[in-house]
Amino acid sequence: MSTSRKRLALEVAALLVVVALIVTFATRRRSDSDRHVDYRFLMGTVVSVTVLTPDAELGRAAIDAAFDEIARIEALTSRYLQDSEISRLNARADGFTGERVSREVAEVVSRSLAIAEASSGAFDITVAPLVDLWTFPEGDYALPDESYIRAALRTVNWRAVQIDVVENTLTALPGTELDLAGVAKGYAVDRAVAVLRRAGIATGVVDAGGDVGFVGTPPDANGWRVGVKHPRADGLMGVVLVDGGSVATSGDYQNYFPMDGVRYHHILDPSTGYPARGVMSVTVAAELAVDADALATAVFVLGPDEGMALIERTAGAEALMVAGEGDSLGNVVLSSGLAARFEAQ
Amino acid sequence: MAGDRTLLTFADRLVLYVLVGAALVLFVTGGGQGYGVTVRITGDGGFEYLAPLDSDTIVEVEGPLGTTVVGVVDGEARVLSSPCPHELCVKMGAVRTPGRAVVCVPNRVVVTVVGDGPTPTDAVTR
Repeated sequence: MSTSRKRLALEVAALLVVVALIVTFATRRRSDSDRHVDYRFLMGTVVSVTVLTPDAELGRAAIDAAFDEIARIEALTSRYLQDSEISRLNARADGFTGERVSREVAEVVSRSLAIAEASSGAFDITVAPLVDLWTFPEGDYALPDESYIRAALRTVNWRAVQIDVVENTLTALPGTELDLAGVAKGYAVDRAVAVLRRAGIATGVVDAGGDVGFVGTPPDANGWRVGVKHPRADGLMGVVLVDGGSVATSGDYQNYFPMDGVRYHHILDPSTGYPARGVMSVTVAAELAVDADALATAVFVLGPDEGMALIERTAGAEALMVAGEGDSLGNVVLSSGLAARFEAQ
Repeated sequence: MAGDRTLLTFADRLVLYVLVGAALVLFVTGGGQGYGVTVRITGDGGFEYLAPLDSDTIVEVEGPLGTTVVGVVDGEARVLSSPCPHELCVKMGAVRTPGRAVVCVPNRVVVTVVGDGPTPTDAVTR
């Protein structure tokens, strides 16, 4: 090739570079300014909804609709709201048979019972009497009396609940009290994600206190980048890459009190009535947040061996577990599908 | 000489190279606009504070438990003190990149960085 031809080729290449860079730059700037986010206090935590759209009005309306949906789910499922469906059911101390419930409550209970069975009861929505003993008060911490725990355990039994998802009817034995806190937030995230999709949002994120659901394609070609909180330090343990679906975390740092060198946290083992031991945090990725939420609790309670075995036999689920006790950080365990998609920090 | 002729003159090439350089600089710096341009602080009862993140200030936000103090210093925002039981919001440290937030759930305070620019993660599970 002659010198002039080489020079011409170089100049054409340079021109292409300019065009490519300008296009890349313009695209990135547009996507940044198209990001809309807002926050609300719902379900006892802060919920954020983020959407990417050039239509600000559409984005605003979609975000508001997502918040409204989460508030609606909370009004149905919270046992701390006197008029909720769950509060109404829990008031029936004599049990009930074939009680009609909303489709939403039926779906949450149905997924909960499925994961209760898969985890041999490590996840259990009948733990309400136990949870009430562990109030995690401010200041004067006290352990629940052993006799109270034994009494509460007598009514903790997920098999005492039956759901008919065709008729949307619920049956429960006398003394059963339901607590959907370990799963309703995830379900609300799923519903909010569905609302965003229906509104025409192509890319978005719903984050309810760490239960995260994704809409559409991620901004990064490698996947959604999800930071995982370090269980004992400020900042992140690392970043996991997921293609979509949802991610949820259960950690012993979220609600706890220290006593005599022991950390008493809110993730209770339904078989003992005491906080589960041997794990600091579990992050689960699954298609639905309702499943990720419940599985994170189940895996936490089951511990490193049985917990990760549950994940490996659950289709579409992956997990990251930080084992350990007290302040002594243990191993970071990754399920087979997540091992290549975790960036430690 | 005909063999040395190109379609572009020296001046054309000069303009081209300047464009390449400018495009590279814009791409690397993000167009010269700083990231995290605004801090938004919200609290109970519709309280809202909006200001440039590089404008140092202390903001006191009243909530159901008392006063949360937020510091905006050196281009980052953090909760300096809080009446909440575990002070997790204080322990969350500072935020400086768009989309990141410090939240005090018990006292219902949210500190958010708003603006253009890339975020290191799309979400944080905690």
